[in-house]
Amino acid sequence: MTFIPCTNRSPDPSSIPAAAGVGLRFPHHQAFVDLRPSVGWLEVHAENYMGGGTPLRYLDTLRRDYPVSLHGVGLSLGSVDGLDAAHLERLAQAVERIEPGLISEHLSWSVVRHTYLADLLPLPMTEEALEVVCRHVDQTQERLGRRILVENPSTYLQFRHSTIPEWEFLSSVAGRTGCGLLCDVNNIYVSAQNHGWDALAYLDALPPVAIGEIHLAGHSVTTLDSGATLRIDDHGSRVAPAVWKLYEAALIRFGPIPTLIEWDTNIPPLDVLVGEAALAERRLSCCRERSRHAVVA
Amino acid sequence: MPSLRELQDAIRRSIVDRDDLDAAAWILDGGIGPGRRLSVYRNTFASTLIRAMRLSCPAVDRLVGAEFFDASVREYVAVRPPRSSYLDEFGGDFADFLEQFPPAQSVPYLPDVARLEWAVNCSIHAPDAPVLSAAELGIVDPADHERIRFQPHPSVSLVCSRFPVDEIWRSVLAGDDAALTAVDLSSGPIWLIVQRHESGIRVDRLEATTWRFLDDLFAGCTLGNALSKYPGIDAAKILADLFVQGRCARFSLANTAVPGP
Repeated sequence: MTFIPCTNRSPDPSSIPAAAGVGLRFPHHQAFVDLRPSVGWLEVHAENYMGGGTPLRYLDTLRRDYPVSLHGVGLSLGSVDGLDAAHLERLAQAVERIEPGLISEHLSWSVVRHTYLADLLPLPMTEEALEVVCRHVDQTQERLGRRILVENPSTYLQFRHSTIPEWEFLSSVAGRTGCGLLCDVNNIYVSAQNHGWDALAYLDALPPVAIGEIHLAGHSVTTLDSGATLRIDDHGSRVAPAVWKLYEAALIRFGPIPTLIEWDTNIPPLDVLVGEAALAERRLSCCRERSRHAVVA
Repeated sequence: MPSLRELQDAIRRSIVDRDDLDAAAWILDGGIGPGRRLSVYRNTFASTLIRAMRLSCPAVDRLVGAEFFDASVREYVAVRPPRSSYLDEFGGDFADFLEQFPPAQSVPYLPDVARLEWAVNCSIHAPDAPVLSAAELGIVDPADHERIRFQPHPSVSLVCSRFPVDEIWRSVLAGDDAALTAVDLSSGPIWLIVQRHESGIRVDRLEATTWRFLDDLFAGCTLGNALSKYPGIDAAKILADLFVQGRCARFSLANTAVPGP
């Protein structure tokens, strides 16, 4: 594929366009600076830019040409111990430094008793957990002085004592805290397949006004000895056909929303990643057409 | 029904201590046993941290081989899991762990290679900071020079070893087997300074006394005390080098000429 260099782009760093973007990862730093591929925006993991040195310099360069969104993976909104104040401070400094158009985190937890469990762990869907998450979203938004988006997780287990469906839990977090939602369509598909949920019903239950961003990624399928399968959200391949279909359904419900391709393991050459973004962009432009016709009609 | 506190403690035991007993009782089976479901998270914990450690310790990884490295990190994270989600700060005591790790005893220089890689890693991730110039010291009355305390640039650190770990580190990363074979393990102790420059990370050797003098200065010892501790040292040359190389971020004046730590 050929790269179309981005020229005459005048980004508004404070807003992420309703276009397809890609997750910027270290192996692509130099290629991105050299080739300036045509993607609508970039998203980076906040934790990778909390220090100084080379990563920040690459990002400073790219920030001139691409709007940037900041995606946290370590705040642990669901920790019963409370937020790690030092980490929230690091996030606040990264936000001040990078001036991202969007800031997002996850409906999950990763830290207990000062131990980081290095994964986005599932919460029990209970009133107690809902209260904890809302308190921490409030605290984060207050410290950052702006709205964040909270992403739906991919999960491989459910707790017996959960009483609230995940989609309702997310809607309540958005309703109570005023945060937005990051709708990870791949995560909905993975969780729905793993737990026997109806993915379309999940989408229908989310409040459209709260959706600020969509994530797409690849996942893997593990077949266990018992013959049962478990889908794992490993961000290590192209977006699955069924996830593209679900994405189209999401666009019909939510309208054109900034959409990100995430690829974190087995990271491919940049043109493969940009190609995935082009597939999302094609669907987004159909969606924009539809919205225009709807307005005209 | 467990409280969120009880549940998160139980998941911690499942992931770090490999004890599923409590957590499994609270998880729906749904055709896949709770133990198998929990193992997905346990595997991510291990693989994420192994990947992080492999990125920060590439020379240790290549010296011992991937299989041994993975096993070492699995043991390491079981006894010393990361304290926070900021993984740039994770791995500082891996060298100490290797020192006590029986299977690693046959490679006596391994912990010091890990120490050097940790210093390199800290240097890579250190915050950006302005560099102190000689001109800024011009405002200090010469009578106060002995009260000066230097704060090193955040990317600077000092490392020493009984082994030539800088040669080992370089030849391993360059994949230069001939150079690695030629390393003389009995060539005597080395004194290193690690720093991030515009061009990348640099690891330079220092003369032993210069290293000790800087080690004292960077630990907060006043210039006066450091000078009296190392009589005859060529301080003018060392300080000039300090400024030219941008090794200091700031200075301050001690209230009185008290002994350094």
